[in-house]
Amino acid sequence: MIIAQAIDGTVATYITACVGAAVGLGGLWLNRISQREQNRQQRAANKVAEDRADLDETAQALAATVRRAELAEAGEDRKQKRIDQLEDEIEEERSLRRVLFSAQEARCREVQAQLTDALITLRGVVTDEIAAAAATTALMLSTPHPHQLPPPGDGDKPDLP
Amino acid sequence: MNMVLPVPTVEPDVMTKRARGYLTVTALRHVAVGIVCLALPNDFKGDSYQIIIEVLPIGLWGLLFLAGGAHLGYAAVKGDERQARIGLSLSAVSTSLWAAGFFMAYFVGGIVTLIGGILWTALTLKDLVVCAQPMRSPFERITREYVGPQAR
Repeated sequence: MIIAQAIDGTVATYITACVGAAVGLGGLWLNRISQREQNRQQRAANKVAEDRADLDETAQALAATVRRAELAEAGEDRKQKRIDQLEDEIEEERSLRRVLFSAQEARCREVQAQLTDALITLRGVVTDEIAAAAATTALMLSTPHPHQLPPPGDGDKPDLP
Repeated sequence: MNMVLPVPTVEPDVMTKRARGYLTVTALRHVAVGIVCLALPNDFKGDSYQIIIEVLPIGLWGLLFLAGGAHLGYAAVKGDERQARIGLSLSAVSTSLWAAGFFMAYFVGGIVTLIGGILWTALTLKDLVVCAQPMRSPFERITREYVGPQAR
């Protein structure tokens, strides 16, 4: 109790009241500081909400773009499949045409050979006929006509009426 | 015609559980002290309370503590930030008066320890610390929305 009874009771009461008043003012001041901090936090939270809304909007736009890209890719795939299918059909048709062409070519060669044989045969026949005709003609030319035969024993005197 | 979309905002929580907890404890302290002041006024005859009683009669202190406790309890239950700040400021005032009263009683003479003054000063500073902190936080709501119910 070194400092005991160093202060008068009345003064101590005044000091106590002053301390109370000072604490009251300090409390009000701290409340103002706190409310400023609270408002700052609220602004920050609103900014967070705004950024979040922007982010959601961007995410939705991105998802729509991805969906469109997927649909386009699916369409491309369908077209590519159709192209492959048509190419297969064309190739199949070409193969069929090649087979038919080969068959027709073979058939042509066969007919050509038959025609050649027939031509050769015909040519032989014609030659024989021409030769026969020529021979006949020559024979006919070399043989006298019955009306032009000379009378027997009269020499060559013509038969008078 | 351009459409202006509303800017999204976050509704602040009514009051943090931390603030409500401290308000409740402070309210109970005030009510208890008030009851003791009113029910047992003869316990305050010692030299420790001489300055406190010179500032206000002990019965009036009891009434003030009871009223302050009820006010703080109301603020805690309702989550009313304005009332909570007023109540805490008044609590800091009354508590600091008692702290200063104990200190002054030591310096005037009659008590042999500063412990009472130290403890009541600590209570005063606690009130002021809570006054200096936001009682509502919009980030708690955001945290719940992002993390889910387990954030509570």
